Amino acid sequence: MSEPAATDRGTKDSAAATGPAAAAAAAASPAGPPEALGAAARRVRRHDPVPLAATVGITVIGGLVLAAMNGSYLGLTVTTGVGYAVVTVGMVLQLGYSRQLAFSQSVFMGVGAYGTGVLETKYGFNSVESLLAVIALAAVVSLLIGAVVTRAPGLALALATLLLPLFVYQLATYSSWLGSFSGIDGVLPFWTGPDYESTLVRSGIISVLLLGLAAGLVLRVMRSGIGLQLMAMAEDERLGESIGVSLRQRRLEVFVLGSVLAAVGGAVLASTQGLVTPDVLSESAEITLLLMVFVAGRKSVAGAIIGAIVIEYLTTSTSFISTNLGVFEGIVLLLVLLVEPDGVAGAVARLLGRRTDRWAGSLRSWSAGRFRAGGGGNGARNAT
Amino acid sequence: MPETPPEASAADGSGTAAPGTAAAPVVLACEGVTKSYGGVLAVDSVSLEVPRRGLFGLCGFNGAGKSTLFNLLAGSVRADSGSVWIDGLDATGWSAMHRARSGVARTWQTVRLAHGRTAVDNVAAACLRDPGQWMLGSLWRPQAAPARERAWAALESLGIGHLGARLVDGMTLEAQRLTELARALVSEPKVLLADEPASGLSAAQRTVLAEALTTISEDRAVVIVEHDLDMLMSISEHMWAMMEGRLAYSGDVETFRSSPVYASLRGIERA
Repeated sequence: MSEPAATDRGTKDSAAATGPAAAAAAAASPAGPPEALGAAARRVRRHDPVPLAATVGITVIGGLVLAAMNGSYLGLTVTTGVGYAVVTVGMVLQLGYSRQLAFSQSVFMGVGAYGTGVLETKYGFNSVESLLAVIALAAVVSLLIGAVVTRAPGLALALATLLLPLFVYQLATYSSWLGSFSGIDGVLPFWTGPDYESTLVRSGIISVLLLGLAAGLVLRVMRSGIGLQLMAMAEDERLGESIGVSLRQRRLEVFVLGSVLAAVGGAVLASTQGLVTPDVLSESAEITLLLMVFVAGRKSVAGAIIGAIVIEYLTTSTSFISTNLGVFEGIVLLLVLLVEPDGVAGAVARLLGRRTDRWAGSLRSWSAGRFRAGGGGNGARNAT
Repeated sequence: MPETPPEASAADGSGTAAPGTAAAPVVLACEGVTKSYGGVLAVDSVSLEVPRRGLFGLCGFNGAGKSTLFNLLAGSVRADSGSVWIDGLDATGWSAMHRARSGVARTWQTVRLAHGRTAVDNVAAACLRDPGQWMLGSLWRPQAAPARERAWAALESLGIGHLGARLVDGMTLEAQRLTELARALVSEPKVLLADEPASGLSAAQRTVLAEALTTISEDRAVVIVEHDLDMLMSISEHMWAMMEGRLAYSGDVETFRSSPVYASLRGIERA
């Protein structure tokens, strides 16, 4: 805050002035007297339009952008970025908002990608059936794994999940059923068109629809009552428990939702590229995902989407970066964590906050001056 | 009253009734709770009972075991031995979450609020109508708006409704403590455990807080840990004092004033 002194003065004055009288009113009910509840109800918006607006906005804007790209290589890059964005949106809830240190997203991205590939090429599923089956599979697998690993707090959970990509990568590369190092070819697009370009555009539109739904879902959770509980337990788990939050239940739910979204992202990647390779499961895939989330802002859904698409664009369109991907990712991730842990979105929010504070301070001073000039009493207090 | 074991509270004297029954209106009790960290005995076989209404003070030197006792009562820490009773039910094995949902609310020695969030959000987190709701259920049965309404009302009832939309980071310590108090009260608990609520506040702010706590205690039990003995004794109807992990005093305020424990806490040399 740019003007902490002014803020503090106003707070102190106001709280001290109204406290004792108001505390007497608390006797009837700590939730407040009926008239207070009525005033409060007028202040709270009952319906939250943001999640639905995000779903519609992402689908419409994303669809228009992909249609404008008309199946070009850039369109393929953006659609691939959309696949990663579905994963990173889940990571915002898991890593950023709930501070759940789980590094198993690449594994579940692999579950989605390989699940789609296997079901479509070996069992004849169409893309809708395989997507639904993959969601169900990821939910069950993450429920089973999560029931064990989410019992471990903080760093123990991080270590437990960090080992998963190593194990699953080995499994995929040694399994001939999963195509070994070559992976699985011939994965169906979400929506086939008469030619490659129109297929890419149509599948891209389905992909942005899935991204819109994922973003709406995550925003809905973050802005719900459960989001408030997640906020409290992310700050301090003992605090969360002391206000009645079931840590085990919430940890497991966040793990499952993040994992299911990672699987959906994997399915988008497989359908967009038409093949699945073990790279999707590798530890470098996990680092790429972390980079996408942390550079743009681990707490921002919009940041996670933009981060995924921009990083995907940079890594595929710039030969220098794609050749030295590991070095590039390592340096950028290190810089972000050291300089701005909340990423670009955090920096922008802070800058905007400072500017808003400055405007608010100027407005307070101006209105206080007007009040005093007009013969008012304690202008500062009234302005507060 | 407070130092008697739970069985002795039963009116029929059978020894089978638990505290909190109709005959023994005790909302929270512990019996012989002990907790040690390494070789240090933090709480040593403490037994006490908290009646359903009123304001009760718990004092003692730093390290006497007051906060540890609060942690044991609220379930944040498990006791090595002994039992805890809430509303007549054996809550010894209950988690902090279960105890909170059963009506035990608390505030902390150092303020614990979610940074970067508003006061109203911090309070609303504690008053969901269905705190165990599954995440999927929250998609079509939202709880945030009614919780925020109750949070606004709770903040207003403590005189800081106008600060509801502010981020807690920029608020004064007094406002933060009142926000924490609103969060503890918004769930309408049966008992409030307030750990040094006046710590860091000015004399004027302490007066505000004391009045608020007194009012709150009219329809629920409030137990306060506090180093400000004058404030504590001016508002409490019963005092407990802890020394080296043990309950050294339990009784009314006037008797406490003439006790050696009080003199020791005041640092008075007795003739």
